Order: sequence, then C-alpha cells, then structure tokens
Amino acid sequence: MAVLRRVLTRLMVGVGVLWGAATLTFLAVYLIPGDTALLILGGPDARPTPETLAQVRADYLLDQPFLVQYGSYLGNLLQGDLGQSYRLRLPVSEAIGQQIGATAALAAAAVVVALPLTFAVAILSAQRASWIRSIVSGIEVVFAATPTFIIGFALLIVFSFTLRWFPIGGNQGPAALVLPALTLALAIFGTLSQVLRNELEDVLEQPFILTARSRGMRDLPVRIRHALRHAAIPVMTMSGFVVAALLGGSVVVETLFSRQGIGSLTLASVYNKDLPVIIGIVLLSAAVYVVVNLVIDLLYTLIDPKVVTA
Amino acid sequence: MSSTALNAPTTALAPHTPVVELEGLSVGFGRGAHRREVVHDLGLSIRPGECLALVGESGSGKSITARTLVGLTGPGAHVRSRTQRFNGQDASAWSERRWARVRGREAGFILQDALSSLDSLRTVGDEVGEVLRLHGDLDRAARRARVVELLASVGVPDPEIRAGQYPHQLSGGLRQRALIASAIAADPGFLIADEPTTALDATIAAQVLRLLGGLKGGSTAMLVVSHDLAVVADLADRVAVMRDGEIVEEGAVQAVLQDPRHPYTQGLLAAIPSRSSRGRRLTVQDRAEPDVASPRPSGEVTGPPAPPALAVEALSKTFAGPGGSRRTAVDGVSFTLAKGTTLGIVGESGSGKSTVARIALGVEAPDAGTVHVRGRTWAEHRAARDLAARRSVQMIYQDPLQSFDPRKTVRQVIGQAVAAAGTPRTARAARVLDLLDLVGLPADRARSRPLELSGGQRQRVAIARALAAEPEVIICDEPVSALDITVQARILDLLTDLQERFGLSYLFISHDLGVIQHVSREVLVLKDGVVLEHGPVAEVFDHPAHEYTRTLINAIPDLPAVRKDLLSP
Repeated sequence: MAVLRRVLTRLMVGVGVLWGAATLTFLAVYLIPGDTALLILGGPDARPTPETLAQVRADYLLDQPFLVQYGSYLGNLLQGDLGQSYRLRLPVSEAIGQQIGATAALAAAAVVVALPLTFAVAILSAQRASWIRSIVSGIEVVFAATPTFIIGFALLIVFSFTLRWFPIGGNQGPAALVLPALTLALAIFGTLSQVLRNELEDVLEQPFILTARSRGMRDLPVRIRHALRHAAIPVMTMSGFVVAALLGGSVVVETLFSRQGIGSLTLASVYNKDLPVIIGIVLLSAAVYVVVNLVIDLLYTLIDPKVVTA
Repeated sequence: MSSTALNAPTTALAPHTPVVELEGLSVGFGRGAHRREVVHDLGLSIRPGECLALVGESGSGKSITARTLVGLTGPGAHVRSRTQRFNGQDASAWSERRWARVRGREAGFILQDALSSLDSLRTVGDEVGEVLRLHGDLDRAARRARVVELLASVGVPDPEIRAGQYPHQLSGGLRQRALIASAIAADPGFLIADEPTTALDATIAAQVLRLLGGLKGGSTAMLVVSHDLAVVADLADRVAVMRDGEIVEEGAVQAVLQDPRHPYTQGLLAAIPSRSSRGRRLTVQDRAEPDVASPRPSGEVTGPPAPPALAVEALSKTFAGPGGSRRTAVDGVSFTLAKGTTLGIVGESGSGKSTVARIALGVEAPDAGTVHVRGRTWAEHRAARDLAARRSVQMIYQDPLQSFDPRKTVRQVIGQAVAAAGTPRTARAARVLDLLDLVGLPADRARSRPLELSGGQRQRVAIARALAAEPEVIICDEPVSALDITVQARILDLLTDLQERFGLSYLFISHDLGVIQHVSREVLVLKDGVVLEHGPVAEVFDHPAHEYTRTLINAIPDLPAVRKDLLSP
C-alpha cells in the first residue's frame, strides 16, 4: 500500500517534470531570434514569397498570441503529436522512432558491459593492498577523465585498424556494436567503479561485517552478501550520471562510428535548426530520466527496508 | 571435506585442555618505522566452563586481543606469538580458510551495539540463520525453525514475528539478544563477548548479563571484554586487567576485586562512581590539598532558602507519532533545582529525560507548564530579549563531537562562546586560555581540532564552552556515558570541582545509577514521561516507592564490599 502510494506520488512528480521540460523548451524556441516560418520553408535560401510565408504563419499559429501558441503546443503534446520535422518532412515521433532502436541497443549493450565490470572490479579491489588499489584506481581515472571520442579513437586504432577484429563503423550486425558500446561503457565504469569502491571500503569497516566474518563467512561472500547491498544504495543515486553519460555519449559515439541513432539525429537537427525534432529529443530525454528515477526509487524500497515508510 | 568431518565433536578433548591458549602474543599495526605495537608479550588461557574477563580502557588492546583469538585481528596487522592454540591444536599458522571453519562453529563472537553489529538490510532471522547456513546441513525450512527456537531460547518474545523483522524494528535489548542467538546458533564451545552491555540501559544490561551467565555453564568457555569491572564481577571467574597492551594483574574475580595489587587496578576500582563514593574524588592521583579535610557541603543548607536556580512546573509535551497519532513524551513533570546542587534525572531511553532537558534549556516549548529561570519563564525572557538569562543555562552533551564544527580549532570553538558571552574583543584570547586551564586542558590543545582530541578532552572542551557564558545552571545530558571508567572519573571530579568553585547547579541526566548516586543530592526517576519518584538520593534508593525503581536498583551490578577497605585513607 505504502509502495503504491509512493509510486503514484513519484508518477505525479514525473508528469510535473515533463511539463516543466516541455514548457522550458517551448519558451526557448519562442525566444530564439529568427523567423520560424522561414526556417520551416527551408531558410532564407528558399526565397519564399510573402504569401507562402503568411500561409505558413497561419498554418503553424505563428501569428497568434503566446498563450494560444503555448496552449495548442501542449494540447498537441497531450495527444502525442510532437509536430512535423522541418527537414525530414516527417512527424517527429516517426523520425525519433526510426532511430531509437539503434540507440537503445547501444545504451543497453553499454550498460550490460559497464555494470558487471564495475561491480567485479570494485568488489575485488576494495580494501586490498595499496599497490593493487593504486593501479586499478589509476586505470579508472584515465577512463573517467578521457573524453569519450579519444577512448573511441583508441579502440578504433587498436581493434579495427590494427587487429581488424571489428568494423570501423555502421549499424550492421552485433560486431559493429562492440566498439561503440565499449567506448560508452568504459567512461561509465571509470567513474562508477571509484564511487562503488569508496562506498565498499566504508561499509567493510562496519561492525556487522566483523560479525559476518565471526560467523565463519569467507571474504568474498562477505563482500557480496553483506557489503554490496549497502554500498549499492549510494551508487544507485548515480543513475542520473549514467543516463547522462549514455545520452550525451551517444551523440559523440554515433558520430565517431558513423552509426544511426538518436545521437546523430540530435546532431543533424541542431545543424539544421530542426526545432520540433530537438524539442522531441529533449522531451524524450526528460522522460527517460523520470522513468529511470522512478525505477531506482522502487529499487530503494526493495533494498533498504527503512525506506518503505518514508 | 564433508560436512560430517567439519562437525566432528570437540568434546573428545581432555577436560582440562584449555579451549584457547596464548603465549607471547604481540600485535602491531603499520609497517617499517610507523609500526606501532598495541599488544606486547601477552599470555592467557581459558578452560572449558571457565569465564575470563579482559578489563581495560579503550586503547588497552583488549578488543584486538579478543579478535586475535579467532583470527580476526584485521587487515594490516602483524601478529606474532610463541604459542597460539585453539582446542589443543596449534593455530599460530592457520590460514583464513581454516579460521573460517572454526568461527561460528567452534567460536561465537558477540559485539557491542547490536544495531551496527547486525546487517541493517537483512532480517534478524536471516542474520541468525547465516551461521546455520554456513556450518550446518539443515535445509531452509529446518533452519527457519531452528532460528525461531534460538531466538526463543535467548528470551526474544514472539520469535516468529521477530525473525522476519529488521534490526531497526527491534529494541536495543532485543537486538543484543538476537546477536547472542546468532553467536550461539552453532553451539560453539567458546564465546567472546566484546562489551556486550555497553550500549544498553541498566535494566536491559542486567538482563543480558543474566542471559550470558546462563550460557556460561557446562563446558562452554567464555571471554568477556569490558572497560567496566562492575559488569564482569558477576559473570567472570577470572579477571585479567589490561593496560597499554599488557596484562598488569590477573586472578580470581573476588581476589582481584577485594585485594587489587596493582595500582592501576586500584585506580579502576576507585573510579567506579556509586553512592559510597559521594563526596570523595574518583581519581586517585593525589592533589596538593587534601580533599577529605574539607567535607563537601552535601546539601545541609542553612539560613533562609535561596530562590531555586531552575523551577519547572507541570511540564507536558507531546510529539506527532506515525499515522497522525500523538506520543506523550513528558507528562506533568515538576521539580526545582536548588542553587549549587545537583539534581539527577534517571530514566531509560524514551523516558522523556532529553525532552525535559531541552525544555529546561529553553530550546523546546512545552505544550503546558512553565520553566522559571532567574524568576521568569523562558517566554518572558524572550519577550524581554534578556540574553543574560539565555546564557545562564548551558548544556553539555553525551557526544560533544557532534556539537563541534570539525573544521574549527578548540580556540575557535571556545572563542565563539566567549564572544557570544559578551567578552570584549581584547580580553577574549586570555579568557579562552583561562577556560582551558579551568577544565584542565594544556594551552597547546587550543590549536587542535575536535577529531584530534580524545573523548575525555572533547568533553572538557564542551565544559569550557559552557563555562564561557558564566552560567548558573549546566544541563548535563549523559555527559560521561560514552567515556571509559577512568576518564569518566576525571570528568566527574572536574564537574564537582567546578560546582564547588562557582556554585553551579547541575541538572544531571544519566541512565547510570552509580553516576547519579555519586553526583546528585536529589534524584528524579522518570518513566514514560511521568515522574515516578522524587526526593533525596538516600531516600529514593533506600526506600523506593515504585516497583520500577526497585528494578533499576537491582540492575546495578554488585561489586563485593571492596571499596571501604580499599579507599579508607
């Protein structure tokens, strides 16, 4: 019951966040200088006649007052209508829908690599001899601090150009997914693993760890069965960072590996000032955040019995 | 390595083979020039059915020694010994894997503060059942049944329900019992209890001690680690007193308590506050002036009665509970605190004593009732913007660390209080040094930060900060509960000295009846927010009117009649 109420509250908050994101992007577009009707018609190079411009203004309600425009924008959003892409001449939802699969596959592959890697490295290296920790932590810092495109280049040079194990780009088949996913995964691992190890080292100092050892539990089981759950709670709050790394990283990685996806769609839309698509992507990102945070929130209640009544 | 081989009975040993045997144990931490040895050339042995107590202050090495007995000294420790035997086998070179088979099955470990010693994310039943899962061949259902049996055997009511609950849903006493259940689950022949009652209220502590006493019989060997001689007096057969990593005195409990040979043991015994210690110093190091010569004005006030330092009338306070309910924290509490005296408030966790303290301090408003300070209520003082009244009541806490900004030095912490007291800027530095001197801290400590200080030093800083305002009343909320017995003795002596010197009045809150009897002239017994008893210490403790007070008094661990002959001048 308490969990259900919690979910409902969180959902309401999530809707509020989405409305805020929609409003902010609308405001930003509204305030951007330049003639939207001209953009719709393909920019100044298209040399539209004044009649065509007026026609477009009327069609897109651009001659109406702010509140009317905002109201019709929200009304369309509620019906799932994100508008038409200026560039692709497609509904925005369709433009995004065509690309989302590739990016989702990339993000999922990156998470599938990053999380096990993070957990394994952090669990095995926490509270070990200082030289082990120095080496592992050094590698993590390199991955956390190096820009994604450099990691990607390095992987390309080693595994595509030199070893020729993987294709240099494209969307064809699982082999093409390996290097882009690894690039994203390493950046996430670098940061997450350091946080998780610090948490684990704090937890391993706690008296209940000593109690577990005093029962005859061996080191690795103690780490996995007792310490990990405690350490995972603060790390879960980093999920926002992970989502940001995946979304932001996909722009870089998809460009670098010439992959299709939301990242390259974003880049192309920004180049062409394709505002409806940009708005759509912003709303999509906001929705992803809301959903991820909701899921994490529910995970808290599963992991930590003290959260339920909160 | 079948499980039957693992469960081979250990009773095949000759009855006199010690369960644990140590000779020439040294434990050090750090490497090279930074190596610090915390245990030096220590030897001990415990026979089946015997209980040895290891007594000493924090840092004496007693906990490290106890952990070493089961191979849990910790990462980075350097352990050397001439002999280390467990159940007659040479254990000096046992691997972690070998120790893991012994722990839980042949040796149970009970730590203090069961809240942090139980995994807060797992149910109590899972925690207790873990030992069975690791060492037995019971299936899940049989384990669950055994866990319920175990919880029932250590006196946990409704064990089926409790097994499914989390540690934070249990009271401190029940948690400690659950922790004991987990230690004895595999029926080990050796039990270590490290400060098993330190975090508990007196009556709960007495129950846990009784429970441990019941486990002792038969062939089970036990090691009890404590800083408090009184705790071990009933439980242990032999006692070893540790100081700075060495055992300074060892013998049968009665012999050591009644006829302590080592000056350190004598000091430990003298430091125990009690009714009979009233009016004498708890620390034995002699001062220039003989304290005995000037008997303390222990309450016989002559002349017209002075107005009380603090008068509390019919206080009531409720708080919002879960689900819109109201919880009564304080219900109709009245008392007066006479000038220059100490009023002790006794009560267990949740009795409302801290709420009374906060209302008396004027930081919490009562729902009904009044607190008079300097002849006016807090509300009237606030209306009159009377800061002098505000300053005249100060407070010190159990854990001063939480009331200090960790980045500020002692000089800054006290300096702030000095400035707030209205001391002119030019006089402040000198005043800080005066205050440090008053509380017995060397002037060079002014540069230290709270984390660099010991518990006793921090409490001295807290007292200095309270004194900065030149208060009339100091509310002491469990000021010595977190301290070792000898440090506690020094702080209590300091508080008494300051009271005599400045005519301070103390509202002294403690769950330790020994401390209360030592410091107080009058005592107030609180339970569930209601005053059960109120009167002079002798009256309340000799003729308790309430069953609850009798329970409290019975919970005071008895020390044999050692003090009189030990402490006669």
